[in-house]
Amino acid sequence: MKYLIRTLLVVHFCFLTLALFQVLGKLERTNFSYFTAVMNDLYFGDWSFGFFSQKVGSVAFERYTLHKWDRSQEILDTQKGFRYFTHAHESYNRFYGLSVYIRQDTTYQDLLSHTVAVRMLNQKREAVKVDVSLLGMQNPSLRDWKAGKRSQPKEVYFAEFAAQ
Amino acid sequence: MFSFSFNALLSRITAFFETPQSPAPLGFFRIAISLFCIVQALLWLPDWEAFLGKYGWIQWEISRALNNPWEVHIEHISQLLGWFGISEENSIYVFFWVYVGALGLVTLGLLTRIFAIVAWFLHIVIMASIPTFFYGLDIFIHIALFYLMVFPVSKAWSLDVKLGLVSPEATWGAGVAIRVLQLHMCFAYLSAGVGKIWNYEWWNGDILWYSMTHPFFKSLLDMHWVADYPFIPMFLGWWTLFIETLYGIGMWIPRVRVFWLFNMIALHAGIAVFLGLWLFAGIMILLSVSAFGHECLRDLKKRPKPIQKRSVA
Repeated sequence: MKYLIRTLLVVHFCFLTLALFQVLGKLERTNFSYFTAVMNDLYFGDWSFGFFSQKVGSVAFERYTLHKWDRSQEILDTQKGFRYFTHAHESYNRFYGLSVYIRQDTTYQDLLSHTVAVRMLNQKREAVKVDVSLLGMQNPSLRDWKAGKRSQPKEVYFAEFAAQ
Repeated sequence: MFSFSFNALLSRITAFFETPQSPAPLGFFRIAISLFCIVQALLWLPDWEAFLGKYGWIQWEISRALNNPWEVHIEHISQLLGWFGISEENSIYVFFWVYVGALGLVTLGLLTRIFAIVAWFLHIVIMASIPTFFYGLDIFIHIALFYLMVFPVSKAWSLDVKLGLVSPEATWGAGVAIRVLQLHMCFAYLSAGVGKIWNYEWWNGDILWYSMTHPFFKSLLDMHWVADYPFIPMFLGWWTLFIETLYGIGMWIPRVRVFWLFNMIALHAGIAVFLGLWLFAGIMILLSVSAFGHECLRDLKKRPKPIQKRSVA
């Protein structure tokens, strides 16, 4: 039993070390990636914990324009406090990842905005069409902010979805 | 003269991992993590359908398409429960209460190993069902649940001990478990620290500035005034780099680790206050306290007594 645990420990720490030195990412397109994915399911062994090493100053806002039967419009804008009907702040935190995903992953951009639009149309039964608009901006750096520079969000993605 | 002996090194490594230790820290780890997961789940409950329902924000067919083919999705669980006449709408709530129930039994320490496996497995299903919504909080919960499953965590403060199912004695297994948890935390922080070092914005304070004023993260205070005092985010950036990168050294030095643990708690409290990531901060604090808290307590108890003045007759 001891020898089995020792072997597992060696594998465990070798794996963590490979993750730490960013080696696993280079093996993504090899057969080793299956092993990595399984280890990920087990305990996120290949996670490199580089939280906030990406561009934090990049900001995304989502705006949903709901077109209703009576031709009125309702705008739900995260910039103006729309929180996806969540009941807890911790639930709302999860949408940060979604907006990053929609903004960065062009393959799934339409798919993900479509699924969000479907939910929106189900939540707001009086709506017949929803426009999904993603706005992005780069926050000014500390020095730029002090120099008076301010950023305005620009539309980076737009799609329309109609209820059937 | 320096002489290298492989056998001596091996025996030191073996002693480091396998010296029998009290299972009390593992008991704390079990109770803290499982209670934390229950609180997290209950906070999530009002929005459970929105995230995990068939027609939630990411519908099942889409979240399934984002997964590896072997991963178990909530849709599979729903189909399984369908055989017992449970509808798709109700199945996600049955799933929820089984998850919370398993965590409750892990907290009490009843048939701990079995219910820890159940909790870990159901957490995989949650993660596989919300691939675009999970973040650091879920990742560290998953790591903790994995360790709850494989470590001898029922050896302290558990019903398993009361019922005589498990011995509460110090064992080499408990020693190995505590060391693995400690080293995993050191790896995680070293990786996080090194990842930040290469980013110049951590050195000039921009990252902290962006984070404090980011419109998504709900800070308790408007922090734009920090722009008038740029040394504050700069200092906080350096402090973060120092505390995270050298965590794996500071935590092994007696007494210094008390300072380090206090700083880790302060760092994560800052994340909670300035970014509104309260649960993420909570799990990170609990993991560090579970890993090194007992050694810090021992250091504090061993504090040198003040020298008494002698009197001369």
